[in-house]
Amino acid sequence: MSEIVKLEHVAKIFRRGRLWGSREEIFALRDVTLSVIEGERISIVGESGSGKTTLARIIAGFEKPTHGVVYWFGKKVDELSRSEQTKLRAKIQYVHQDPYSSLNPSRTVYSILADPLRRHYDGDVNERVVELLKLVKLTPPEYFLNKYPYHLSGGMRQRLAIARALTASPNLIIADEPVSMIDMSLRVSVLDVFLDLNRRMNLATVMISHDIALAYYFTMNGGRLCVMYGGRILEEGESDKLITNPLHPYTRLLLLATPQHQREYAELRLNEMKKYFLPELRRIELMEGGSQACPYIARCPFAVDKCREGVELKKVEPRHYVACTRIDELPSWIPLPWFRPKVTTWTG
Amino acid sequence: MSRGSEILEVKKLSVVYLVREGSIKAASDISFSVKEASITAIVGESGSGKSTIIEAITKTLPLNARVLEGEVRYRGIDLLTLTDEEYRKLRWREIAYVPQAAQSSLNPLQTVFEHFFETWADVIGFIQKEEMRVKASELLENVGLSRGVLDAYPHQLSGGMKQRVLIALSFLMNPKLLIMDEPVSALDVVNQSQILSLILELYRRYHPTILLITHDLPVAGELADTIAVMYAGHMVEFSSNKEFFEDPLHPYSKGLVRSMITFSIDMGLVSSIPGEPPSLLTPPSGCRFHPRCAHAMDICRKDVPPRIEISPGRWVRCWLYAGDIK
Amino acid sequence: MRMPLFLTMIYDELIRPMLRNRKSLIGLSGLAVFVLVAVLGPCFIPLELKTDFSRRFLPPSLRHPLGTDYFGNDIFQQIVHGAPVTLSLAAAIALFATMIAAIVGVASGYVGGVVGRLLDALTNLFLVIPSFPAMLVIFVMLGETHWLVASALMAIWMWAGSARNIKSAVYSVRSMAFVEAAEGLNLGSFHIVVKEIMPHVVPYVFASFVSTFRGAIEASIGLMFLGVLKYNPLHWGVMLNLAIFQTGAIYVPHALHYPLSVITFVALLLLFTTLLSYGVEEAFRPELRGYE
Repeated sequence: MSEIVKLEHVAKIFRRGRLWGSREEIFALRDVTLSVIEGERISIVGESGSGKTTLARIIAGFEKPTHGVVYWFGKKVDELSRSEQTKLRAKIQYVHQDPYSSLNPSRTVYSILADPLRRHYDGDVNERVVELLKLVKLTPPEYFLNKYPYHLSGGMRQRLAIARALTASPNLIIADEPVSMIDMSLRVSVLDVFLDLNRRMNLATVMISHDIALAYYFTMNGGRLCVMYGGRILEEGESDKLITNPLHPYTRLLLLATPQHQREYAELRLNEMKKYFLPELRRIELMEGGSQACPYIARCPFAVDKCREGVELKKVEPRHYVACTRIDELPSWIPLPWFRPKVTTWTG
Repeated sequence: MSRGSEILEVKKLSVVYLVREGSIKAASDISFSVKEASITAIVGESGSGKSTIIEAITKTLPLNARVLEGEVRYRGIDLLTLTDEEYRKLRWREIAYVPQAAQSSLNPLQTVFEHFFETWADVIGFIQKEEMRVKASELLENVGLSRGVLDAYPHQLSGGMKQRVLIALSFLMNPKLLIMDEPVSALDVVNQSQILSLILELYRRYHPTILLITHDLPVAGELADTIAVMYAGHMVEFSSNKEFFEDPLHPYSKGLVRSMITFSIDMGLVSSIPGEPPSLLTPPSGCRFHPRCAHAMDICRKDVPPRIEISPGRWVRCWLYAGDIK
Repeated sequence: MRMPLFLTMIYDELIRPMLRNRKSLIGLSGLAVFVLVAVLGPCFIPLELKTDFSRRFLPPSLRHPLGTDYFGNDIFQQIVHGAPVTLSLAAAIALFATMIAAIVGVASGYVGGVVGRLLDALTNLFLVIPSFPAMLVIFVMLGETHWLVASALMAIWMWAGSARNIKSAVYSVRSMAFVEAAEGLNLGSFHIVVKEIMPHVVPYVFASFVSTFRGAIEASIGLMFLGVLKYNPLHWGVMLNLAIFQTGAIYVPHALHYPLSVITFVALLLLFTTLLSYGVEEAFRPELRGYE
């Protein structure tokens, strides 16, 4: 199983401000080590500001890290020649969050797919366009060929964006919140396209999400989940394990913060959530500079002074890592009455 | 008005938006009622018409909207026939509207305190600044904000804080009917749950009637007593919360419930609704859901189904339940 | 009959918005009349330039709709024959200026970096230096020049504003997600600029052309009126110059029809081009629209 992408101790600092005067430093990523293996499904979960989008963009090559190394197919990216970089970059494709601005409104569905195909595909372009449309379930393909993006709904556009990403025959697709701007009843159709492609073509997929339930849907039965906060990965591992045995207080918070639909459990859920959450941000002379501290310090009810010294991801069981020194002090993760373990295995 | 009686009754409301290409049939023949001191959620996805209903009730319809027919009766008074002056007497005092914090509903040039003060001055009249401060601080405390927020400008507040300010503001004159527009959208999950907590707490304390619109079904499920489902301008189902999730009647409702992704369902069984929502410029004939419905019959293509009452307070607009009324 | 996609796009994107907007519709109609006169007029209306002082400054009559000038020549004929001259010079200037603006704007907006900043500085330089005085100085120093050279020299002072608009249009399109996606697919700069970005920028280029055209009319007439640029005696600017400075017509009360007719036509031309220019800007830059 080869590694498609590896990030080693990657940090990304954005500097705001003019050439003269004070410069503000924003640590989008602090110290991230992550690898993506052939055919894997990974979901990266976090709130806005957690660094998940920056991470996605660094994997895709749209940004370069400030510190740390990025490997593509085993090679260090900054040691590659320009042409090698260009060639490899195409094998890692990115699907944007907003399907309304990620497709050129003045080009037809056909052109949107044919243009990159002419560059990447050796066979018959017209045939392949039809094939791709079928792969993403935009059928009948002939109907869509001369349509413009504004004829398509959000779900269809996103599927077209996926088809476009496939034109380069990538080994890895990164989807940045692919369904957050799509209506609920249409989300599954888009997610299922990703799942289908992952299974059929062994296409590794990294899905960024702020919704941990979606992230779990995408990665259950063998996929991996990473929980990010403040530019670091706080917990990661096999998603089935993470969901049934969440160890980081933030992971638990996210799980409890996800609405379930039953009224009778609303109070219970909201009360349980309070255990993992500080109502007001703790005032700590925070991190500008002290970048080793656990980024969750300001919001964590269990934080102690020791947490300032920093924390590493440690293995707690096979395929399950947590970056927290206080996991033994957490309350027990009681069987939450609305939490249903998945009963049916996804067969697609 | 005793608890349990209808405080709001909408009857056969139809609204269109006039645009260059024609008219958008945003809401057609909407009829439903809201019981006092209950929480009702109108659930609908984009283009369903849920916002139009709220705009009609709060008299915030855009300039190109036309009310073709219908009544919106608040305690017997038809709001649609009131002049702006007459409606002003109800606004804030009886009916309060909580807009989406994401939209610029707060004046960026005024502090939070000024919002409270001006609202009171507009509706009731003069009040001492000190007195207002005390009132406003109390309201802010109720929503979990410190009194320091009073002197902040909207841009200094986070999304969650702004939403709370809007909620606090709506309680200024202890209204009977609270209308909330997507109270938790555009907030991250943790903030969402905090606002949900807040709403439930305020409900417990003051028992207002709450009418909220949302596209987020799980949120509706956690908050509401009654759920109304909108699809393509029609209200297709109206039922109690429990009955809705246990046994959704309309095929669209079934599809919607099956498409939820939460930890409270079996994720192996999640499915999408095939097809796409229709254009409201030229909506499908008859039942607007028929192009996507696995059970569509001939009559569904021809005639809009009537409201069919299944049990008191529970109805559905679907020919499948028409029995021999065909 | 299936129109090629390209033509339908031109119609949809460029022509229809212009016809919808009231200002541009009026401006376009008026300008169309002028163009028609410029193109067809000289075919139907002869130009008789014979000096006959006995017919000097005749008032408007059936024979001479606008009267006669200092030399006894019919003013109407001169106006008609001067139309193509005036319009084509302004068009040439606008064309050169817009070409420069498009190249600079696209390069600066797309390439960015050091090159972009240099081009920005260049653009700002030309923006800051007042165009008309600069042109005045150049032509005073240069004297007689071929009309193409003169157009080019004038165009140099008229591209900067358009370049800025075009650059910001390119820049904003460039940062859209679909351009990033095209880059990620290695579609190449040529494809990206021409096929992805330009379609969105063309309306701005067109709007720039129209507004530069208007500016070019003003500038060319102005320069000729001041006698700094001598081009063709039928050019309305030169006619104006002759009418007011050379022939003393403004001092002769009954000769006022001479300068007045030229001024009227110049003013009408400017009115229509200005309306068209505003209308086109509104049509293609929705943020400038009022309530629909």
